[in-house]
Amino acid sequence: MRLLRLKRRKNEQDPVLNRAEEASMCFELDVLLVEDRDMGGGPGEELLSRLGCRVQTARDGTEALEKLGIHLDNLESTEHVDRYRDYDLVMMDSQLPRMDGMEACGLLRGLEAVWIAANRIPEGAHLPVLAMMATDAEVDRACCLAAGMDACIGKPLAEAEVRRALDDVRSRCPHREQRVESIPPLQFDEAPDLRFEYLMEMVEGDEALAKELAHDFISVMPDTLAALREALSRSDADGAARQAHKIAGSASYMGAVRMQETAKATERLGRLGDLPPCMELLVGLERSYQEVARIFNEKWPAVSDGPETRGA
Amino acid sequence: MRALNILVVDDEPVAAKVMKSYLAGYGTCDSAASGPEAIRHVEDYLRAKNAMYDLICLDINMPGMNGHEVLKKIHELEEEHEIQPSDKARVIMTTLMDDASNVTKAFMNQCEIYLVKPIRKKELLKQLVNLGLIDADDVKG
Repeated sequence: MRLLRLKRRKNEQDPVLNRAEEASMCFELDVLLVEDRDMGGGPGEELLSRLGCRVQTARDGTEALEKLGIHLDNLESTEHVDRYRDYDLVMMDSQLPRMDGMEACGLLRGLEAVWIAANRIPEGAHLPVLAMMATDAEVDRACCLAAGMDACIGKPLAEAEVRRALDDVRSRCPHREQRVESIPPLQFDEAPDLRFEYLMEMVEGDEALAKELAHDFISVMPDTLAALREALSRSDADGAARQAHKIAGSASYMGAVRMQETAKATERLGRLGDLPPCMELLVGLERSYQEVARIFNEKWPAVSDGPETRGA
Repeated sequence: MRALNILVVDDEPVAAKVMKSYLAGYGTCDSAASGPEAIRHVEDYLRAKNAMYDLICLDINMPGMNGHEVLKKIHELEEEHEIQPSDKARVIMTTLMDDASNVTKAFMNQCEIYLVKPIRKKELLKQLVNLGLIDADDVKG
């Protein structure tokens, strides 16, 4: 591992502080930076190098996958899997030519599973992928996370944010040869009950459709919540996981963020057979559902009663 | 533009309605709320028309019979009815399951595309263009 010599600008007179600062600045991670621009030292590359990372670059999803040893015309081949092991982190634009970041990441996640099954990479191996996004639209963020990316950071890159992200990656995979635990899901403790703008973005501004969906959501959800409660009272872990999955699916389209995250957590626990905490989560789900229904009713009076005739 | 024959399979009504709303204007859309119901639709369609749906949007996590099983059964029925490869249904998995084992299983069962919910209209339509089911010029806003 190469040590980075940083130019000392501040604290010239305090060598101890300087060493500490150097250590915290020097991440020594191998990063694949995937950006839609001409090759060459751009600001991202410059910043990562300054933070002590070794940077390789690619211009689109296809080229990124090739750098990771994945060739689209021969996905079965594990010949170049060593290249995958050369990286600690991928930082990728969500929008890219040829193959975008989400498609590339989805493919990478699928192949990781195949390589694990073939014992080519260790059980639980998971190469962190950070999406770089020029927008802060919640729906784009959600799509990136759904595609298997681990987190999103804004573009243009802000040094503080990049450092936080690198710190996070470094703490989770101190050394890539070691067993790498899968990245824990993001916490949404402060998630709002409803992101209305998310729903409107999803239906592309079609208010009539949004109202119809709100109506369906409000009318179907009590039965699904009751079925979840029923499954939990029977200690039916599979049934509980299935109902929670349904709730998460509906909520994902409605922008019911808190319900979505709570339902996902319930589903995970259900699959693990860990039911006691699910009861508590169910109470949270019911409460959040009431709130979502209240907001929809306030927005569109009588939306619970029935949809307006579409297209009328 | 050719009108597509589409089957949307999802046990969750909000997701099913969203998919149908996205696909409205591109053809006729049947829907099924479970695996067995999807199979019945496919069987009926094959019997009535001796042809296959152009597009099937298929959820994975459903009670009774999951999307992987449905996908396998669809391919079996296509073989039984001697549907030519070019006339087989294009299958897009539409699911909340984003783990690698589900993704690889779906591709091993020969789905064409795997989309994770929530799915946006432009993403779905982009994939229909990729699959050659619609022309880029046909994409409506």
